[in-house]
Amino acid sequence: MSMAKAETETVELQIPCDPKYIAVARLVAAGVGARSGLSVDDIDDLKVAVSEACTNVIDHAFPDPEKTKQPTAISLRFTPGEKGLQVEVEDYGAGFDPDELPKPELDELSLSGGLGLYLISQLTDEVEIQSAPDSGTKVIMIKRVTE
Amino acid sequence: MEMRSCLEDDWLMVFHLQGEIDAETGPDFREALEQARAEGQRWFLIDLLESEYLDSVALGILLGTAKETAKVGGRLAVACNRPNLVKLFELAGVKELLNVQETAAAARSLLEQAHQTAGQSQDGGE
Repeated sequence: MSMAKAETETVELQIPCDPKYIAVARLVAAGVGARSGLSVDDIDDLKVAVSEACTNVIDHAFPDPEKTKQPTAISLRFTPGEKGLQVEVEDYGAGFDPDELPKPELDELSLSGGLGLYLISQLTDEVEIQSAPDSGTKVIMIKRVTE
Repeated sequence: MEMRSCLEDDWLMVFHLQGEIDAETGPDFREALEQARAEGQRWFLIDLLESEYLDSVALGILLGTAKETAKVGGRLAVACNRPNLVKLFELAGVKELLNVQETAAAARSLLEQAHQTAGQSQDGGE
């Protein structure tokens, strides 16, 4: 039986801005990663990177729930491509100026909260952060299939 | 995450963790460590041999505990041999600081030596 190839293979997922759903994002990352040709090791890296992006949203996107927006969902889009898998993690929270991201020393990373982004950059092949104050944040990462 | 802890030989606090340590489960782990420190424990063996996943949340908790125990003359060591988890300790540059060892026996031995040395220097100071 021949089947028409799907126009897009993007898998979309929305999770509540709540730590208990990060494991769900990891499961989907592993599933789509496997179907994108990533190795077991690459999938382990991707699971951490996706979790860090979600944890950052929960910790930083809604800094003051009393006065600013209430936490909204985290949107994840997984798009397999020829070279690997692109993952977008988007929130609709406070946003920030990416140029003003602190550049902490390595041993201060965990205390400053910068360790998550550092790990994402080390565990994926490309990272782009789109953000602006009051406009939410989108982290786009690409994990390539290891040749 | 499943966690069990016990005090061995009246000085060594051992935590066994199974499963995943992340932003969901990390707070329970942090609370248990803080409670042990509040009760005066300062020697910690964190057994991650049956842990499958950890991220910056766990690294932050371990680093914080290592720093606090060092302030009171204690020490923390980690047993972990899964390559994907050891890689995270290395990437974060904390493998030495957290005394990450491949076996629980090696982690325990490291702590026993430090405990013995601490005891001797305390005796010598008196």
